[in-house]
Amino acid sequence: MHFIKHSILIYCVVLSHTMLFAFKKDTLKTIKPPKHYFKTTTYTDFYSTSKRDLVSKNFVANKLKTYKLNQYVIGLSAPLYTKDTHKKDSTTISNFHLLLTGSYFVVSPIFSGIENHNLSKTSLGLRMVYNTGKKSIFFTDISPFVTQDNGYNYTQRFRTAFSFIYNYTANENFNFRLGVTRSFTFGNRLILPYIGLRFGKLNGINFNIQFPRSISLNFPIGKYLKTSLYTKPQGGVYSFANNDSLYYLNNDKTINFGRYEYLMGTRLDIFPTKSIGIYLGGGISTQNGISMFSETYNKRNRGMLSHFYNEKISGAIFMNFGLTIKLGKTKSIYNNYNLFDAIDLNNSSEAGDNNINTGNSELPKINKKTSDMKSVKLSDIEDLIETQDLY
Amino acid sequence: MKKYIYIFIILFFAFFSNAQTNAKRDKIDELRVSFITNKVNLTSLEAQQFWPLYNELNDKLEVLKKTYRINYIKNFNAELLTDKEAEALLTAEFILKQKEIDLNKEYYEKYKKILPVKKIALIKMAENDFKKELIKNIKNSSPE
Repeated sequence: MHFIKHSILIYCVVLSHTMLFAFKKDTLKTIKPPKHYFKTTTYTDFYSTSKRDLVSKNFVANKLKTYKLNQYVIGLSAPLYTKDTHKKDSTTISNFHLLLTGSYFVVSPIFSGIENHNLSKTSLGLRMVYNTGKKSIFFTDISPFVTQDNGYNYTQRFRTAFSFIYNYTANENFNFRLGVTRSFTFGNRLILPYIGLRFGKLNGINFNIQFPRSISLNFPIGKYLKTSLYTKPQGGVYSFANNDSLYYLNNDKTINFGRYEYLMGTRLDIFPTKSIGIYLGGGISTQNGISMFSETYNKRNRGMLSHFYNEKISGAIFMNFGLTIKLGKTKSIYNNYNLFDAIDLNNSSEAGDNNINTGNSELPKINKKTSDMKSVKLSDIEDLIETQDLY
Repeated sequence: MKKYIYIFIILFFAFFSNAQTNAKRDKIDELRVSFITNKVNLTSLEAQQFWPLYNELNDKLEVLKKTYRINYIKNFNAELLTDKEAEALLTAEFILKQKEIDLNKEYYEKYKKILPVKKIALIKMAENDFKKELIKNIKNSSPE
């Protein structure tokens, strides 16, 4: 209930902020041009799986009995600073973007043998994107976050996830990405290479491989719908209060809970406007695994965490729902494929390393039909026409 | 809780109507860019350099026109216009046209560095054709 209250409150604050500016604009004598290329984005995402038995024969599995998972996230990405630079001959525009990211994430692993734990991650990070104006983009995301078992303040722990990615947009139909990412998505602390390949237009049909984030095949259906077939890993490492004595050595009051799953499913994105995106997803969550890590045992460990309990769990059906609201007026990006990729990098790298894709609703749609002109009214184009045009 | 839901619903609808205004401009821009893209064949390199400049110019022109419209067209009532206001209105229109010409010239010089002049002319002609096409559609759809 608290989560819903906070979510609504945050939406209200952000929306009222935009409305105030909208009303203020009407009384101003000078119109300020848009400063940024990225819209302020707020999003919420819900994910849930069905219940499964823990079958391994050990102390922890016997105690936990069954496993089911719910997760919610509310997040924000907002441009702070944008700088356009014209090259000497004034024909190439490069730009630098600084964005603020934040998210509040709650994962509730439900074990029937112990009381419920709500594990949260609160992240506040920065993101830098540099578009050379030619074919390259440099993307850096640093997401420090605090993880805790809600209700047990002593479990608060500070961690950082980051990504450095180089993007090369060869043309509108092909790009590749290379980089490195520090991620907890696979249920452990890992530093992984980032390799990405996209075939097809970002705002058209495309096949997108982004290791370690996702592989997807995307089909737009008209202007307002997009459907995707995808597979992606999802998971994390969260602080967990040891009040059920799951780990009885070393007197650890806090342990770490790691979980991961590979999702295979389909997703339908609905874009009623460029500012709103709604998505519904579902499919099978395969290769599920959970682990428990002792803090004391891993104290001097700088690499992967060593578990005291690890279990592979059978697959389950999952469902996923999300709402994205993108605010503010931005500079035009029509046919600027470098910026399409910059926006895609921003939308697919969700704050706090939760591997949630907020969708590319703001990308201009491919509009080949001249019949769409019929929906334009005279009042829409009063600025475009001169009296002489009517002769 | 109810209070929050009411505030949220009101703001959501206010936001939605504001988004609709921006959507009009986006729709026309999308149509215009698609129209030009179909009419003029730019190479990958040309497109990469041309479109950011074209977008930048159009954003600047839009700000100019919006400023003029808000300060003069919306504020002045044609019936009650004083001589002073009429002069201000006409002067502002001349200034607007002059600024538009200056901007178009400035960007024409930039386009010349990346595109053959013939292609620049084709783009300009495509823009005019788009305008004509729009007017034709409006004429056909409006009742006699």
